Amino acid sequence: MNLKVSVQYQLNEYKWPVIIFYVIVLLVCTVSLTAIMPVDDSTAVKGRFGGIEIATIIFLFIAGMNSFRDAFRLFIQNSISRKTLFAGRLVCVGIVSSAMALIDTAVNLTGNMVLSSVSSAFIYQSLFTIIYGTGYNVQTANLQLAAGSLLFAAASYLAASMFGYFITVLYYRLNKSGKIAVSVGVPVVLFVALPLADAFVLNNAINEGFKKFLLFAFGLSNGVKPWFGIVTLLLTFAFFSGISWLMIRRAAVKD
Amino acid sequence: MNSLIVSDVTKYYRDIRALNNVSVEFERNKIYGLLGRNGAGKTTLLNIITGKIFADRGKVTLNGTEVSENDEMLRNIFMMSERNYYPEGMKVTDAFRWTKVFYPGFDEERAVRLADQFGLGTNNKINSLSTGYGSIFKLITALCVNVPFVFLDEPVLGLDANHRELFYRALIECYSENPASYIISTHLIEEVSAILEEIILIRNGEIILKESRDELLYKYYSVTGSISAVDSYAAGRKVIGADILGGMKTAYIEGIPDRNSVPDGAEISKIDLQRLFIQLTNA
Repeated sequence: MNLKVSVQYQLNEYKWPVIIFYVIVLLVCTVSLTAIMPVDDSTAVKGRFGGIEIATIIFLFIAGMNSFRDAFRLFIQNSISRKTLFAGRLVCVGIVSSAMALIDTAVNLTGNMVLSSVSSAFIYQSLFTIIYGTGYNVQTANLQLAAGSLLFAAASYLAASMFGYFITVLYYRLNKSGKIAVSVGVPVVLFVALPLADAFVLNNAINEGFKKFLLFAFGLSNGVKPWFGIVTLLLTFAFFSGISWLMIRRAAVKD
Repeated sequence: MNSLIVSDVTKYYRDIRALNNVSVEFERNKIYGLLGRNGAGKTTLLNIITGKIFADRGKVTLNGTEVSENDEMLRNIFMMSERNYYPEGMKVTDAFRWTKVFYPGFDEERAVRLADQFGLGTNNKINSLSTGYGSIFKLITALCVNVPFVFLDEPVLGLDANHRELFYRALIECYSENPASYIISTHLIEEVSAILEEIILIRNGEIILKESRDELLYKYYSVTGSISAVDSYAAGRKVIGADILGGMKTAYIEGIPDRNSVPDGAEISKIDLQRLFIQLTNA
């Protein structure tokens, strides 16, 4: 298996987008922090800052949606098998997600330090702290929060990347009418049919059930259990990886 | 490294049978012409061999090992496709660099030299190249990969006469220095005829002939003359086709010419590959 080559190419595809993404993030953080720093030095918390991971999740989802077609065609043109392409994709996503989770955690720690040293009116929080912070003593559990943030971010990034990849592979495999059916059918079912049925027929059962499911899946239904969320995200990653592979393994190169 | 063997390959596109139990063997270090009319199944066959699409039945093997989805086997094969499968925005120079990564035997130096000879700017984006220069880029890549089996699908598409001549010379040069099997699928039969060693003829998804070019041309000849003279000579012989233009007729015949029985007003001549192709694929 030509795995090294597969990883090398797919990582290279991420290089410039990731650099540009962090340049933008850095600029946004710098401008925002500069803007809020001199505001107040009172001890009352007036605002929260952070959640950079959301931007990374969106970025990786979009990057995932742009990762299949070109690489697939180039690899097949150059006699690299589908399984090597996909194995390379998994390794690449693993590396990128881990690296970005590390960077984001470092940014979070730095942001937290910088902000807390100049003002107590604003606090800097990671996505993990925003979701699971109530389960920790934020003042003393810095290391636990940092480790949790890192793992949660990495799992989120894996899931987001593979979800984006799944969508692009799905669209690649579908014919024209299938694409139309999915493009129209999924939003109509999710955002029109189900809410209407829920509101008028099912007495809000879907909404409540979905909320309960999410709270359980992310470990918030009965106390705070962050590892539930991490496992759910990893299972999401595994699920979309499996479906994507099933679609790729017999994919033909389209003109 | 032994032959590349295609065994009983069948491929359907919905209800249309593109290939029907195709079996063919590509030996090492030969230049093949894969000839057939539009829609005969040439590109489908090449796409199956190189893993772009899957056969419904049958297999392709190299050294007895199945090629499909096998990186070790696939790295012995390269196909220059009629289509462009390179990412949008990729430059020629980047494509050469990546080809070197995918095929470590790729001769980058020769590729740059050939690009210079053909007048192909290596800083150009592949997608922005004209049809002719797109073909030139893909040809150069194919000629420099240094793998045992190189498939060329319509290699001279859009090339002017000068570039075609340059390509044939470059192909012979590469073949002499690093012998490999080149399988050329083209419609410009007469032009490529001189460099082909073996002919594979495909019609309606079936291989109808695989033979050395010289032997093939030796087996057929033509008789030209007045209609009555040609008909009289052709009677009882295996005629594969005929053309009539004005009062003159040309009959294409399989067998050894009998010069002693040629009637007055008719003459025997050799048949060229293109003419033979037309007669064999017209049926």
